Amino acid sequence: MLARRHVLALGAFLAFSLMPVFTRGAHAPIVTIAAWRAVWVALVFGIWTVVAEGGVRALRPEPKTLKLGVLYGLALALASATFVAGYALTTAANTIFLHNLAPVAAFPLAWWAFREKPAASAMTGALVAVLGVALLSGVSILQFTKMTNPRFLLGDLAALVSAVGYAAVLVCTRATRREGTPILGTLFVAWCVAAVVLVIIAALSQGMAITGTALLWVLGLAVISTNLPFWLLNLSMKDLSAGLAALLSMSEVLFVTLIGMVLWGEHLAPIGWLGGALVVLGLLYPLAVTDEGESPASGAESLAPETLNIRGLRLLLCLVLVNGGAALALVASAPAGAILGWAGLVGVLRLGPAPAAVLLEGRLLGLLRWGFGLFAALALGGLALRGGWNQPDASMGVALLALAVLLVDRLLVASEPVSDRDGRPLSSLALLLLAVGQGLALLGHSAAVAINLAAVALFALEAWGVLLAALKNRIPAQQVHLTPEQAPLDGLPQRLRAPRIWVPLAVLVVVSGGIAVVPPGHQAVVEQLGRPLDDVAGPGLLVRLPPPLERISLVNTEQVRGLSLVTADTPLLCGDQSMVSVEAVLEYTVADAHAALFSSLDPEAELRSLGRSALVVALSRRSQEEVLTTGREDLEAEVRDLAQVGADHVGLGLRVQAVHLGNVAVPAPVLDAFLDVISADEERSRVINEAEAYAADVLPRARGEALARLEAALGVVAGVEAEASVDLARFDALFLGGADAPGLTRFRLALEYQEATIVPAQLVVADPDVRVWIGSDTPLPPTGGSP
Amino acid sequence: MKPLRVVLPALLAVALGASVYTLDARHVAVVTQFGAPVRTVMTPGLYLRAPFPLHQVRRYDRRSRLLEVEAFEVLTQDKKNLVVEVFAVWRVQDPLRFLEAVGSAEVGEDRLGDLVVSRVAASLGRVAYAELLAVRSETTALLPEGALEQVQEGATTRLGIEVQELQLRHLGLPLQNEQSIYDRMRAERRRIANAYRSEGEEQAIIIRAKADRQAAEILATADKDAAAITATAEGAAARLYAQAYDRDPDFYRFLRSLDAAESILDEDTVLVLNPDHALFKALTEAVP
Repeated sequence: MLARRHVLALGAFLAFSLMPVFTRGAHAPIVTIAAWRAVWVALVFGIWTVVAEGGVRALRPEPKTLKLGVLYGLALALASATFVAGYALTTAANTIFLHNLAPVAAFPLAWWAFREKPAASAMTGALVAVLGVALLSGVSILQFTKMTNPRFLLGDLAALVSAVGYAAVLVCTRATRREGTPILGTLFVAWCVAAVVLVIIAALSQGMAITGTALLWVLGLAVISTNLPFWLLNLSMKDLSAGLAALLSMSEVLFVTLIGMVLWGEHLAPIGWLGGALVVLGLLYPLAVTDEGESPASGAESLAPETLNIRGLRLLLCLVLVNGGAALALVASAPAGAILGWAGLVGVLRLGPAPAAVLLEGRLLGLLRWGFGLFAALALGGLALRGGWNQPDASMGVALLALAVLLVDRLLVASEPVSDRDGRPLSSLALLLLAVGQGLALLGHSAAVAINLAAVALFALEAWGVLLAALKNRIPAQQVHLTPEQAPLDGLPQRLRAPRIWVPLAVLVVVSGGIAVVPPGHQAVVEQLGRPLDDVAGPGLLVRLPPPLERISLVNTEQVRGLSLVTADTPLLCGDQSMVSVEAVLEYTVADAHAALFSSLDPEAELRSLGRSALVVALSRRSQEEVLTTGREDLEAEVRDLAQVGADHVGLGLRVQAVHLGNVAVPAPVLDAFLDVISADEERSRVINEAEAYAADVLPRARGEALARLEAALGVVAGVEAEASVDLARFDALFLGGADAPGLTRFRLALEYQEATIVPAQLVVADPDVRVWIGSDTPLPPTGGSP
Repeated sequence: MKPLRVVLPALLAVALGASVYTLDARHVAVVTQFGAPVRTVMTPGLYLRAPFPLHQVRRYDRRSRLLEVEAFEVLTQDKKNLVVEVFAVWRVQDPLRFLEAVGSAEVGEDRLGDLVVSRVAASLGRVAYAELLAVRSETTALLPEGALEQVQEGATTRLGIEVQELQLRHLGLPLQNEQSIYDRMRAERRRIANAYRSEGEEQAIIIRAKADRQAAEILATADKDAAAITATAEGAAARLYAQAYDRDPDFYRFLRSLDAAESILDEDTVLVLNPDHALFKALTEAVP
């Protein structure tokens, strides 16, 4: 459990983790800080040595101390300088993550230096902790897309070297403890060496200029988070293995994260918490397990020592396959490169557990194998779904890599003891098939596709076999290679080994290259020793000599293919210097199979450019109004004709069937203005309609009124006529009735009238001499007697 | 002698295989001897060569390729900036020249690209903007005549490349000029829109005015007709009166006076009569 040495080491790493506090405070180039730190540290250790170990004489090292100290110092300088370089070149997350791969380097280094074998628990702990650091520092697998940028690659490499340097520092510390050199004296020598190297580097790159305040910050950095932890580390590592110390050093990331959260209020994403938990787990695991790492490993070593080495080499070969295949796929974009990469991965999964079994516990091995087998099956499934991989690309690199790996692998297998032999015949066969397939593709042989497919299928079978074996979980640590019962498919190639089968098969494959079924709508062009024959074969079965004597190429001459000439987001200029957005599609067929095969590298791209050019020319002769309204069909015809002229001029052997204009519109920036015109037009109609509505209202009213007035006039006429007839009738009656005695009639009438009129009136009878006053202002004139 | 029986034919086969090569219709080749060109092969077929270290066969794709030059700005004769994208269709014509001057298709595209840019810029510099874009022009190519020939000349003699086609695949304006075109198009549309709106108002006013006038006309005509009708009727009545009364004008005058007196006198009239009035004469005469 937790002993004094562990506490001391953890204390040292806590002090180390304070580094960012001082570094941020200094505000200076990081190289300069590193150099000044080394100088300060060397000075402090010098003074410390003088004070603690009795006088200046203690500074003069013994030869052994000097030797170890110089090594120590070089390791320090290497770790420091490469860490800084990594920091400058790649992302901070990558640097911290890669730098913390130190345990991975520390275990083999310690083994190499003092034959310190790590315990399984320490390895497991390291694995878990590295995973945790990866999560904490935010390194993701997705970041490997940056691999194309050499700057990042260089930075990652530098960070990786810094991990090795750091591991070397720990190993050196361990070495000084084993040798028992004076702690302070050795550290003084080491830091002097490191200071010299770092000062040279700093002077060459960023310069040593620094402000006074910064110098004080760096002094703090030196004393608190360098001198102190190094002394603590040296105390603790008297009986702590370098590997375990490296594992403990990962607590540094944890402390840094904690300090960041407390001092600078940095937040940790959930995945970061998970990472932190993993780091803690990884740290605690070896401490909790009793063997502590000092005892020699007692893993199951079922493989003979010589087999183990060969197995390691074969594993390396598989790693070459993974990386080589990936590089071919990325750089030369050869799909078969990806297949090779996956093949290598399958090989790693199958072979990997064997060497690992020496170091890992049995249970963990089973788990590892199970998980990785599942991963391989998923990966191959994904590969099959993604498609494109069945295109045989004529890639010499893939063929050569497959062949080379196959040969070396066979040679290695041959040197394994028979009892331990794991031939991997299925993978070997698949590799051979892939190489043959690539070779046939180079020759233009039509069997290449089928053979590539077979190779992929075999790789898939291999992955499936690994998965099945893992699922059965019948792989105890003592037996790390697959027996025929566990991987029954491996027996298949043995039965295929007889030449009786191979010779006719090979003949069949070669001859099949000369046989082609020409589908309907296709034409076949035959090249005889490279020279194309003039006659073109139509649909049906075509039997020719196999490649490389004759070669058959099929061309689809019936299919109408479409090409988008321009999309709506590229406005084009019209003849009246306005812009339109046009979507245009050109349809074409192959008219001449020969020309289509031999005249152009990429006929479609050329036709697309020619069509686009035709469109630009045709638009430059038209006004926008014309394009938008009536001139569409005319435009389509002209583009088609111009594109055909261009295609014929280049000799593409293609016929332009039609050009279709899709959406023809004004460009988006002026669309609202155009819409406004439409609404203005609508508005015009609306206003006119309103006026007409008014007219429709006013005129009928007027007509009605006119009629009414006429009717009124007619009414008046009727009244006049009626009155006249009444008057006349009365006159006639009186006149005729009283004709016999006119005087008497007059008298009667006069009196009747007088009666009728006088009765209602106020009557005053007065003598002519009397003046009558009735009430008005002026007296009435005297009335004369009448009638 | 198994080794001899196996190894000798194998060696022979390898040697034969190494001294024979085919050239297909997609390629042309230059045969070099330690780097020095020996001959060029232009027609497809089966050929002999010295085995590997002596002769090397360098194949070049003879099929046409598309070179798309990135957009660049040119200045027309009247100093207007244009953004053009040009493409060229080219192929290896003289493999020997191509090998010496260029070496690979990538380098060839670079060189040809430079040549194309300079020649296109020069030839467009001699054309006015308005000539380039003109409604109803008869051109079938936007690049002036001679641009292709100039590029061809340089490419054939210097690079061993045949340029089959050279065209503009895009003709545009720099961004700020494009904006001014859009502004102009907007102004144009605004003009049309305003014209539409004013036209509408104009028509509406005319229609309303016409309607009002017609209504007034109709009423006036009706009034006139009505007056005529009443006048005619009154005239007829007057004529009738005249004819009737003409028979005894005195009686008419008497009767009319009576009527007038009746209509003049009403309840409020105060009538002052002389006791000698005819009405009372009978009264006074009857009483002695």
